[in-house]
Amino acid sequence: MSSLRAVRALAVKDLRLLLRDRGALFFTLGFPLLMGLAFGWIFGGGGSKSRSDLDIAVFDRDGSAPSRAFIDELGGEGSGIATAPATDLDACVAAVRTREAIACVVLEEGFGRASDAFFAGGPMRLGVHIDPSRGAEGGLLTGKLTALSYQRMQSLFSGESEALKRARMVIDQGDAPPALKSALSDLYTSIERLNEGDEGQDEKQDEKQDEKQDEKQADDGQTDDDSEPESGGFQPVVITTSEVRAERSGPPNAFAVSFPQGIIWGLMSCVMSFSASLVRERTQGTMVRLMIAPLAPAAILAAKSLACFLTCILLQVLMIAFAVVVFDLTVSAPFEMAVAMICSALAFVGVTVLIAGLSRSEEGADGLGRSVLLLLALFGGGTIPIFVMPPAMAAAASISPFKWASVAIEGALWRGFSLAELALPLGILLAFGVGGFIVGVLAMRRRGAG
Amino acid sequence: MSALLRLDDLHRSYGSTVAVDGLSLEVASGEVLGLLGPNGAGKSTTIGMIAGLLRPDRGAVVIDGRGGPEDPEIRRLLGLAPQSLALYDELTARENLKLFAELYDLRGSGGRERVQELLVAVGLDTRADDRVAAFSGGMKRRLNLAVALLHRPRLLLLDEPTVGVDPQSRSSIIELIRTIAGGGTTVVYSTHYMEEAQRICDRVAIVDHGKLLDIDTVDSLIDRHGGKPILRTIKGGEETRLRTDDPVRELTALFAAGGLESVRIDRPDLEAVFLALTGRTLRDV
Repeated sequence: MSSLRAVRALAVKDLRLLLRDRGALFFTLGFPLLMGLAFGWIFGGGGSKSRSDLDIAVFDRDGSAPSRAFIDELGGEGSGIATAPATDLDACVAAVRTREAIACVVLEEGFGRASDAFFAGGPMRLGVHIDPSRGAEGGLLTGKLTALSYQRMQSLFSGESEALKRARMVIDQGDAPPALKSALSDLYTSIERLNEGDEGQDEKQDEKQDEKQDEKQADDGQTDDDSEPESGGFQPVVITTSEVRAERSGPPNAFAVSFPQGIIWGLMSCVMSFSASLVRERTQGTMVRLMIAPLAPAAILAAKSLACFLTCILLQVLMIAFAVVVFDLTVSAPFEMAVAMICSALAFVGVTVLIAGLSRSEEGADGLGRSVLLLLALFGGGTIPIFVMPPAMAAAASISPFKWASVAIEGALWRGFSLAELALPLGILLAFGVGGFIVGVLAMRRRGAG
Repeated sequence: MSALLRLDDLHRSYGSTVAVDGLSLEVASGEVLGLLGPNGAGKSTTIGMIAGLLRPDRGAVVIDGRGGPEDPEIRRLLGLAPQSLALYDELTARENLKLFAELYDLRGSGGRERVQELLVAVGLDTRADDRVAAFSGGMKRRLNLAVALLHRPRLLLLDEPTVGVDPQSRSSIIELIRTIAGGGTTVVYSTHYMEEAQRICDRVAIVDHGKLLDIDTVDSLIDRHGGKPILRTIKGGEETRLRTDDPVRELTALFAAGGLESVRIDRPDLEAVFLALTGRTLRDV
């Protein structure tokens, strides 16, 4: 029999045994999820704030009554936006940089005047500073700003159609110069269209924005969602967006921290389950039967390691997928995440073999797991996130493979680490894996069981 | 017949405890050899060395004249039913058999047929899809034996295969082993039940403290070490024991004298052989 086929058959057996052991299955897949949810809820303030709110910093450079009203409306009940006032532009942009807010909205000088007299002082001007990685939220925000601007203008003109008709008549019949007549005629046409409804206008506005964005890709990363009104057209609002790179110092939400923590607990359960099962093979005699089969001894260990590896990978994929789907997390570095998961799984396969090698009995493996692994998990970020640990504690945590798994997974999940930045945690994880495997195998051989 | 198994001066110690001390013997192809001895006699260690699970400190195991069990190809010739139940409790009987069948390259329809054949042979076909955890000790023992037979081994090693089972299962296991042996499979059968050894084995090796005390057919062992038959009579409420080569002649004379209340002839057995060789009975140890 080919070794690969034997390894596969034995690994399938181990996965089947795990599936039938409800306790082990719960602690490997269910408990980590509960931990992720519980810690996320606790870290996130007990769910006091709706997770769907967009946190927006607002700097009111205009300081007028209409601008204040606009801000109130922007963060109003049911808007899905939570606004926080900024004292100046720097503070507003800093909020984005530090991830306190996903965007900074600036109401430029003249905003109030423009909103009260659309045709006297030009369009209302808004600035939006946003992290480019928050494209979806940015689109949502500019859409909301545009809609609010049009609503405001529409409220000024509602019920005025008759008055407009009369004004057009007066201009048409008067002695005004032809250029002025033409400009006023365009203006009235625009207002009438506005009065016909927002939707149609919004679509045209969007089309116009798209065309202009294509034409005007700003070299400095700054783009105008609307441009200055050209001859024959009218733009009530001009939104200027600029990119602000958010610093990678804080998680986007509490679940970005709690789910990697949940993974730590799941990895611990994997280690305990598989080290106990490896010891059980010895104590219950099945190892004897496997050793007499025409297999290389390495195939038996390889199969157990493969099953453990696959379970660790499955746990991590399920946890991250859950966090992404349910808590709107975005994996900032997907490839690096895949590498981090693989290295974490390899590390804990090594730890599994080490514990199995050092344990004489199932109870021994269980005891070693509970004492040593629990301690390593607690200090390795299982309860207190590494980045909020005091420096001395964080340094002491370096002996724990859980810390490095946590650093690697968080790094790929929300810190946006590159492979170069992940090299240290990944290297240490691989060292734990290889070292654990070698020592574990030597211990088994010494005991005559490997 | 040529020797399928040869043990040459095997030694194995655990620390200061000598488990096997210079054991040498040969087992012919198709023979059923019993290893009879009390617990701790070195039977399981000997089986372990034959199976390649333990490395001898000294000496050699030669199978089929080709080499030792460290060679995977040689191990293919072996089937082992270990004393501990080597089964996965959370798998069904069929899943256990299927797993080990795969390890021996028995796949597809051939594998499925062999699994079903063995389930029927050990009387577990109606419980094939139940988890082993729900089985009785006897059922587990039968399944343990079935796994060892999957790949039709030429040399079957049975280490106390009837320990802890009910009489019905024991009888079923013994019948199955007789059938297997009848098919030409060589069997090494370790036991401390002399009745089983007498019933199944062509030859019996008496072992104690890791040493081979004697090896021969049951009759020869009894002839050599068992002593004469004992004629037990009760006459006038008094029991008399007479060791004699010809109990029938003695009995005829006693009947002629009259007054006999009870008569019994005790033929010597392996128990007597063991007593003669070690000074202890199997039940003492």
